[in-house]
Amino acid sequence: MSRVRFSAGGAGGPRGGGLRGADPPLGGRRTGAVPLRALAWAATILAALTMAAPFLWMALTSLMGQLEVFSYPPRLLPETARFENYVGALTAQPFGRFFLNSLVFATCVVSGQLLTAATAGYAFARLEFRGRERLFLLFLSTMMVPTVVVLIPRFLMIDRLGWVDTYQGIASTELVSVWGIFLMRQYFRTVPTELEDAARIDGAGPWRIFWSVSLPLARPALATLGLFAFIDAWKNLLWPLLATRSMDMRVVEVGIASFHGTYEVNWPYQMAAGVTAVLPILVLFLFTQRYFVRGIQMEGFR
Amino acid sequence: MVGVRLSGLGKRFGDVVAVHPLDLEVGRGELLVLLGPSGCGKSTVLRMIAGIEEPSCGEVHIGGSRVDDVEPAGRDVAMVFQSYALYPHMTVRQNLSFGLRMRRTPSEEIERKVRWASGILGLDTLLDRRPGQLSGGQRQRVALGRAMVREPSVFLFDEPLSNLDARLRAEMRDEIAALHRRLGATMIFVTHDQVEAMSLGQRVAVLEGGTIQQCGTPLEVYREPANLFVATFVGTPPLNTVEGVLGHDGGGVVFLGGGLTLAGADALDAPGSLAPDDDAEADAQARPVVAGIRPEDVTLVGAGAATAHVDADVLRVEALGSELLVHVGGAYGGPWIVRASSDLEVAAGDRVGLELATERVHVFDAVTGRRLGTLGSREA
Ligand SMILES: Nc1ncnc2c1ncn2[C@@H]1O[C@H](COP(=O)(O)OP(=O)(O)OP(=O)(O)O)[C@@H](O)[C@H]1O
Ligand SMILES: [Mg+2]
Repeated sequence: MSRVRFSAGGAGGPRGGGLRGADPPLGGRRTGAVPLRALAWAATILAALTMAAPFLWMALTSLMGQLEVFSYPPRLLPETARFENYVGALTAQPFGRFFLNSLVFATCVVSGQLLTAATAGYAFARLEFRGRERLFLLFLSTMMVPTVVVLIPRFLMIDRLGWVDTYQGIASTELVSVWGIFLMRQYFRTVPTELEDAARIDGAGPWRIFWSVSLPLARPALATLGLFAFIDAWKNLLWPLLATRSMDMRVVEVGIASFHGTYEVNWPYQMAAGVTAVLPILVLFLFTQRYFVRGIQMEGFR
Repeated sequence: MVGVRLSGLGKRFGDVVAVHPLDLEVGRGELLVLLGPSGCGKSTVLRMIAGIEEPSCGEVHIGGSRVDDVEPAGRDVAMVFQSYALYPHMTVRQNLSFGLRMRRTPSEEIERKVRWASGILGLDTLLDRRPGQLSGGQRQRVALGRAMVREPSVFLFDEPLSNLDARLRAEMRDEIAALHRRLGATMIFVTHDQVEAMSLGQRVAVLEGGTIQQCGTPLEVYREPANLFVATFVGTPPLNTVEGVLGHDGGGVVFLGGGLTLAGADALDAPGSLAPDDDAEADAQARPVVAGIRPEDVTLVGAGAATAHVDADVLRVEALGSELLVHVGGAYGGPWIVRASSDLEVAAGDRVGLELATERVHVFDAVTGRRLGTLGSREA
């Protein structure tokens, strides 16, 4: 019955944007000037649309006929929704295998990066050893090297090891993320040292403190890093393309790209595969988002 | 029996000396309060005893053995932190049992101890909550419980009550005192609140600038403060002070300053003569001192009364119900605060006389701040 209106005098206004427990940082909910609030909402919606537009377009295109894509004047909505595109696209190549490969690759990368970033980040944040800050700076400086530059050396390395076209070949070079180490270090530094002191008095050793006290508290950072690492690995095209050869080792992204053949481009198929490829990321985000929304979980420490 | 002994224990952070080498002995089963203003090094001393701060010099002995090389876990101490430092991701039950689990205590025993502690502290219904779902007072109890279940030989408290409101603070103070009676463990309680120190401590060590200024029973510290710092830090309202000189006039010592002439007994070392007919040269030998008197040792009398030492103006009257705190000021300096019966009729703007109990007037060296003694009374 009653629809939400932006101009409504406060009580009925939309609030919170669906984020549990997180008040939007828009000037005072109750007292703020209505036009200002409407403006903020308009801006937010505009930004959201801008972000969503390519995805919507991708989804809509995936349901079109191959020629319909090029019709003039261009059309937004497909004449009839051709869901058979999905079947076609996913059976045109062994996508089941591709998904498995992507999943194995991404899982290795995520676990590897979580492990190395958590331990190294903790060491840089908490352990005292000589040259710690300098070593950390050295780590950071590698972030200035573009990934493309190290592509060939990395390939040569795995080639020497005979790992081309294997899981360990594509995954082994991606297990350390300097950005992840940085993120974890910053996060561990916000964990009050008194907590660790308390654990020491309680009888916990360094590993136990790391495992039972510091790491659980870093869950939001771990979730963030994990999600980003997953997305990064999932959408990585160049490296798997370079490091794998056989159809058996292809990842989803490479599969999608191969719809873009030399002689023809099947846009609807490519888009259908693309939509399917985005789904795992969406699911993962749904699972991890509560950590983003809640952010630092230090309330209750005092 | 010795509970905790510190000898020459000191700490410096770079160039900053947080704690000057100090000696302190806490008897087994004693509750000692470490009292001092913010930044005086209280937490640092406590952390060095616990073993989570490396001392720069000196030794820590617990229960008769030296523990400098012993890990915190092996010192048989438990600490309640200023910030409570509860593990936010664990339930109250897990918080309480963490230390026991680390020590591989059998689970029935853990269960029993957790029930015991939570029973005493009234945490039974909160065991499955997280610290974030507790009030400040409840968190404080959990922090206390976490120390209790370990049944350590030494408890270290770092201002555990400073985040609580006045009523809760008084309540928890009683609970800690009761806990001390019940467990008979050695306790070192750090606070900057002198009321807390006086009401809780069997002995109080006053810390300032990283040095122990005085260590004694609350009454000793209050009645015979070692120096001006202790005298003004301990007691609310604080000690009233006036600067002047100390000499003698034949009949005994005499304090002159701020228009006050206070004649005392012949107990203090006062070189110069201050007799009225003496010359300036003798006066110059008189010793510069600070006299101090507690608010309850001054009596308000009528202005110009024979017993009045000096007249003053009433600046403000605080009616606390049980008593009045009368703020007075005048030629002698001030403002001073005088405790008076709530029956007394006095209002701002009145002129009153101040009668000082000379046997309760403390005299401090103006340079070192050391207490020389009390003026004493002449009648005897
Ligand atoms: N890690 C540190 N590095 C440098 N200086 C420090 C460090 N820890 C403490 N200090 C200094 O040592 C002095 C004593 O600190 P401490 O924490 O023991 O004070 P405190 O008496 O507990 O104060 P508060 O009542 O505010 O807790 C302070 O001057 C403080 O600045
Ligand atoms: Mg402190």
